[in-house]
Amino acid sequence: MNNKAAKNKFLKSYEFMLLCVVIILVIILAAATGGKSITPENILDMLTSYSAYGVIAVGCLFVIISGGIDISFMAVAAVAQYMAALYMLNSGGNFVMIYLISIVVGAGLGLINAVLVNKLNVPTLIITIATMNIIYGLMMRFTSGVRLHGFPDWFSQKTEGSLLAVSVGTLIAVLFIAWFILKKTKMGRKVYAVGGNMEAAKRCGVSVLAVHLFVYGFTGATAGIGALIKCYLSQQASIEALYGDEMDVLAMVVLGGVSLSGGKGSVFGTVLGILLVALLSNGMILVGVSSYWKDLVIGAVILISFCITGWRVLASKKKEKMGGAAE
Amino acid sequence: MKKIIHSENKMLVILTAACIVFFAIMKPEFLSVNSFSSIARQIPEIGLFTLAMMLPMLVGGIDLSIIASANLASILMSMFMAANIEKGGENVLIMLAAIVICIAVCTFVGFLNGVIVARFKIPAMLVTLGMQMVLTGISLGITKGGTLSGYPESFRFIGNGSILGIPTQFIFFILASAVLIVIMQMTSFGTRLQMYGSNHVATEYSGINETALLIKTHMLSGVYVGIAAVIMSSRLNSASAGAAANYLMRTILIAVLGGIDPNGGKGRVSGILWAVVLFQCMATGLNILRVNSYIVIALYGVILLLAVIVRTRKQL
Amino acid sequence: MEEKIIELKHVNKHYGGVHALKDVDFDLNRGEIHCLIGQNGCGKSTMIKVISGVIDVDEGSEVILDGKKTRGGSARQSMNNGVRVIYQDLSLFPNLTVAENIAFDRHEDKSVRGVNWSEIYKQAEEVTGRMDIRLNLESLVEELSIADRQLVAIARALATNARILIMDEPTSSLTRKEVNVLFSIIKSLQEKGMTIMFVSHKLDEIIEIAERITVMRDGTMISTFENKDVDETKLAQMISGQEISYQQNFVEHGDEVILEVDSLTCGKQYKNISFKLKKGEILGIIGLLGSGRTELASSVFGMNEPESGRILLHGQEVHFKSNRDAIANKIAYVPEDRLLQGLVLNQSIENNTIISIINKLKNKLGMIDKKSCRSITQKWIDELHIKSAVPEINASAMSGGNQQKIVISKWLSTEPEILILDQPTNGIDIAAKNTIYELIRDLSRKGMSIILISDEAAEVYYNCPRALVMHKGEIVKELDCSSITEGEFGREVLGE
Repeated sequence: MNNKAAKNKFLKSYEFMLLCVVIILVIILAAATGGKSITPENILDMLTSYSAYGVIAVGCLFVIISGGIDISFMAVAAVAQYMAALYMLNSGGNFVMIYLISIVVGAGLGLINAVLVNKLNVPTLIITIATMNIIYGLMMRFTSGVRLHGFPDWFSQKTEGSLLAVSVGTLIAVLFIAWFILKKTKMGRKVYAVGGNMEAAKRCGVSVLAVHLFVYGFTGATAGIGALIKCYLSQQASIEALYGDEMDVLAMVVLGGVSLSGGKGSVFGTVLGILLVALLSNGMILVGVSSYWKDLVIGAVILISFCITGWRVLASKKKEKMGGAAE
Repeated sequence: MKKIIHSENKMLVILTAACIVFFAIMKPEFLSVNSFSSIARQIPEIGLFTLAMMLPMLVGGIDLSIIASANLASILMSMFMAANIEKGGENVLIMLAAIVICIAVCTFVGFLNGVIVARFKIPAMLVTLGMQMVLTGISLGITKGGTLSGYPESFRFIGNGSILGIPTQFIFFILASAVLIVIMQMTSFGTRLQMYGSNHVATEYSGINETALLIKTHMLSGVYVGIAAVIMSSRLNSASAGAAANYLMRTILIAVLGGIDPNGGKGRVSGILWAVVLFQCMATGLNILRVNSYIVIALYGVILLLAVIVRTRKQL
Repeated sequence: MEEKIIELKHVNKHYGGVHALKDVDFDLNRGEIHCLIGQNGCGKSTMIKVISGVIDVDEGSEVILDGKKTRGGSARQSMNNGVRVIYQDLSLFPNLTVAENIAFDRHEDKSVRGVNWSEIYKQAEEVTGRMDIRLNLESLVEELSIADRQLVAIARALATNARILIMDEPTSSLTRKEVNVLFSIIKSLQEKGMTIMFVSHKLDEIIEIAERITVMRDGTMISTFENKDVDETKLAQMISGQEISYQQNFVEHGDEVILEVDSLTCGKQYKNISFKLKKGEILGIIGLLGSGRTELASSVFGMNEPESGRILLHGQEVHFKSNRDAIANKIAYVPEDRLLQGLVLNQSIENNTIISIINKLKNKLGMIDKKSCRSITQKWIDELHIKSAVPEINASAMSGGNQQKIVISKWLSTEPEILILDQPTNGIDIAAKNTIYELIRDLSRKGMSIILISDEAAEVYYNCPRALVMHKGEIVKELDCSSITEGEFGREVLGE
């Protein structure tokens, strides 16, 4: 391995730029809040409250790498959360079981998306808008939007340790699993292959259906896990708490530097994306800006990052034509 | 002699008829003046939003910021009127100026969308998703999550009054649709837009200015968002950051139902018009039957899927 | 006795209404190098898909692999059969590294567990070592030049234990040196028992490498020869199906210089290009894919800004910001890829014809003048004899030759002085080709200056009094077609 070349490449990458932005933001916020933002309590608090959406963002990363998009994940998350909550209320249960239930329910709904995406030649956005409405509508019909609470003691009596383990611990575990899948498993590599050139993947014998099943199933599973974390933090299963927050999650992935047409994106980038969104939202509260402006700030950051990405792509194309990229 | 019902729309007309017959059998009061006037009041808003959605879809994109754009414009319009017309007063000039502001804001949003899509070659879906966040953010920031309400009587006439028994907004809708039909069928812009959506590479090779075309398409879409915003705001007599959130999915549903190819290129205004009628008959019918509103949402999802399946089958 | 590894008997294949393969008999002997040759659109790619098992054939056709009748249907099937194809589009993953592209089949190999990056690099190194080429295994494929990408595609096919290797135009963008490397690799693979089918339209290379040669034309199998029984001239006749009935039929042209290109350079694409085009002249530019021919043409057409040099029209220097400027200056360009760049297939012939002049067809109200659209379209349909064309129907309903005429009529309606045709007869049958040549000559007689870009020697030789040979971004020679024979012309083009 040529370390110097690898280092140069990293210095030119989007991830590096993002890392710099995150570091600068941390410094600015620390200065603006007189150090309040970098107290251990605040950092832990911030990470805890963003771990749920962070987990879901990792799932979305997979879909976007494979060249699609999924916006039904919050509806899926709501169903998974509700199922796990119902189970706890009815039969007590334990952490293993509720994790299992949310994962299975989430993944199962994700598989429906996968089959539709695979069989229909239509933008995945439209397909997942449809499934989102179907899932949400049915869910609301059968639950009437009632919140569930009053969970068993093992779930409701939080300690600082258990809180960290369930939120940040799960996030780290999911990040590690995602990194492992993308980097070290055949399926992970096939996800990149399908996103990069689907026709070529087919010609190499890759089953695109299997990749779609995996990707959308995985997204569903992370949605389930994320919803469970949220349920643990707020001690209630509520559809409204999730549904409608799709953009907060997508913002993390998109800011993490996924390619806008599939085939690219990394867990590291997504980590930075999660941090960026968390820092911005948390920082605004600390600085005293009304939370009503949160959407504006994050949306503006997204649009600016698109423009920069687009501009970089155009510039590198021009450079390639002129032969400047050759070494 | 032009055919009144284009062959591609036959299915929609048959479905609409079937829909009316079905609801009439289930609940005879569906055939009342009341329900039809309710249909006529609802159609313009959703129809205009769908036309606004159709334009970017025809060039292979989509616009997820239309509702957010309409809400922001309504809020600004409402604030402008509140600031310049004292409570209970009337001032037609100020009102007209407010309407112009509303449409101008939406057109400007379309312009921004178009510039980012065309200049930086970013998929419209992502650009408009980000734009939606920005616009909702501004609306929330201005209103602090509240609702602005109370318009002058003359303004409320747009969304609640009627002329010769026809709801005012329906007349606006017919006019706006007719203009769009003319634009799509009879101007070079319309032809270029459809050519571009079918194959943007060949269209560029033919000497069409891609950037200008995309920007114009999004701006025109913005104009229709603006008109829809005026009508909606007037009918509701209020403006807020979260109004009509469920319209976004419906516009996509109606657009696909009306024959807009989600991959770009094909589609006609008349298809949208028939699809809006079909949709609104269905929505009103389901309402009269007192079907659970969440079941209706799920049903819309199913219909969107079915429409997509039928429409893509046809191409094969 | 030769052992047949795969055999096709009475194979037919329909795609919708198109009869792509007509009663084809074909076989590959174990361990041979067999070339399949024919013009674009003659059914070569369908043959590749049938032999590799990616598609199934019509009822009544037989495909026999290792003595057993098989049916096709999927890519996996073909891999299981031990058939590997290097497609012309290379089918690489631009977002993955060179090493992973080369070793990609490991991801589909059930005997390999997980992803072992050092193994992947080892395998890639081993294959590139075997091929005696140097590639930066860590770079992404999208960062490579086209020629390097081709090498990656070949390396990927060699990385697996294929029994039959099919190469679709593998040399189209390789230099002679790289071709030599490829051929020695092919020979060494053959020694190890690999059966190789080589699909190409470069006669010299085929004569050099093939043991047997099969000629196809219009979906039928013309004949299979032993290498020693044919030469280039005979092959060329077989391919075109015409006993060189062509006659050089040059049109006199004036001396007035319409277009002058002066030391035009554009980065890696082409450099130092200079030539003059006279009124009514048909100037040929002959060069292979990747020679810079298309990039040069798009620069003249304003779609590819050059780095330096000048373009002069009637002696006046021009700078085109976009192709709209070029069109305004009466330049027209019929692009290489008719289906992608030339036509909007699911739009009407009328819209396709008027799209470039649509802004001039407005009436007083700013609306399109439908009547003149219709009459212009009908005029070109009549004038270019576009058979069975009605203005309202979609361009996709027309045959290849007629589609090309629609593209040409689009440009003729802009009343150009200079018409650039990039591979105008790609995938068009012989009869239609001739009508297009007739049309080109006709236009030049009327004083239009034409640049005919092609990689078919005969096309240029018989239509252009003067031809420029482009190679690796440079004009390497200028040939006077009237003073040499076709054979000499071909050799000059090949650089012998």
